[in-house]
Amino acid sequence: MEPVLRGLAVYLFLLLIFRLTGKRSLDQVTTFDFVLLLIISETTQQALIGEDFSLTNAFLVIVTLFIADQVLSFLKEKSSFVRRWGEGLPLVLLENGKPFQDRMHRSQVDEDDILEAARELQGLERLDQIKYAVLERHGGITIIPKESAGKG
Amino acid sequence: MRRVGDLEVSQDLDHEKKVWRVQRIGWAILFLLWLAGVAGLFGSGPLSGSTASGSGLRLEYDRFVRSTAPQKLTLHLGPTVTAHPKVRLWVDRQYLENQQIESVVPEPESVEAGPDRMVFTFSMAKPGAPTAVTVRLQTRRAGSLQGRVGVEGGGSLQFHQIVYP
Repeated sequence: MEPVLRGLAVYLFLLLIFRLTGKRSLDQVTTFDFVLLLIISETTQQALIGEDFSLTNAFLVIVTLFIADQVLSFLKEKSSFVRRWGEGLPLVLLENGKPFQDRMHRSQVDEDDILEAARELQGLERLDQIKYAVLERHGGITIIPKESAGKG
Repeated sequence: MRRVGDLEVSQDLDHEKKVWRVQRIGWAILFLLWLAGVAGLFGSGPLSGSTASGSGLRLEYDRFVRSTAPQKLTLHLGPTVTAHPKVRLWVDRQYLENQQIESVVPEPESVEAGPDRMVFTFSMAKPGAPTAVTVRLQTRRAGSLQGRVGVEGGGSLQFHQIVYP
């Protein structure tokens, strides 16, 4: 009983925190973010297993986490409400070279992020060569170049 | 599928605005909880530290404690209590059932089990002088705990603790 409750509590808490942080929370992982993640997992680990270091406890916690994740993806598939809130929707950040500053600001994306994605994915040089920049649900930015903007 | 210009994308700006609002409110709540944590609402802080006193006894305890985290109870004994060379203090058995005693300082001479209380006997170095007994505990059960400590043949103090999981 207790390992299941621990697993569920940690799962829901982390889900809540990461959803509050927004789409971008885990996409661009800097070295420091990575270290932070390690610290978070280290802290979580203690709470997850408590003082019971048995295999049974560990297995129960792991199974609980998997079941919680399966249930969440099942609910996302069944209900658009859960999908919208649990995963979010894509958001157009830039249209025909014109960035939507308000959306970018609220999603914690700046022009440098868009240009970086444009360079990386499409080899573009300037914002005005971008037709659309979309902040995807997983937190990454995808770029559609203007037809006139040739590669290279 | 919705369209934005030439793009087939399920963007929903109204939903996005709601998400932003929920995120702002969520962060505000989280920040308030964090402040409450700093202040001691979740244990170990100015909001948590408390005392109960009466009939020559004064108990320092934490109103908010966390399960499996160490906590400390300090019972100050006034001169009226320490008048005799042996002082017999008791603690509610129900309270101790949910605790793991790490240490009792000074070490009691004897511990006796009673039907509803545990009696600890201490010998006094200087009868009639005030002293204190410190008990370090680990709480084993989350919830609301009621405790009672007292002197045999004297008064007692009641205290209440909230134990977070």
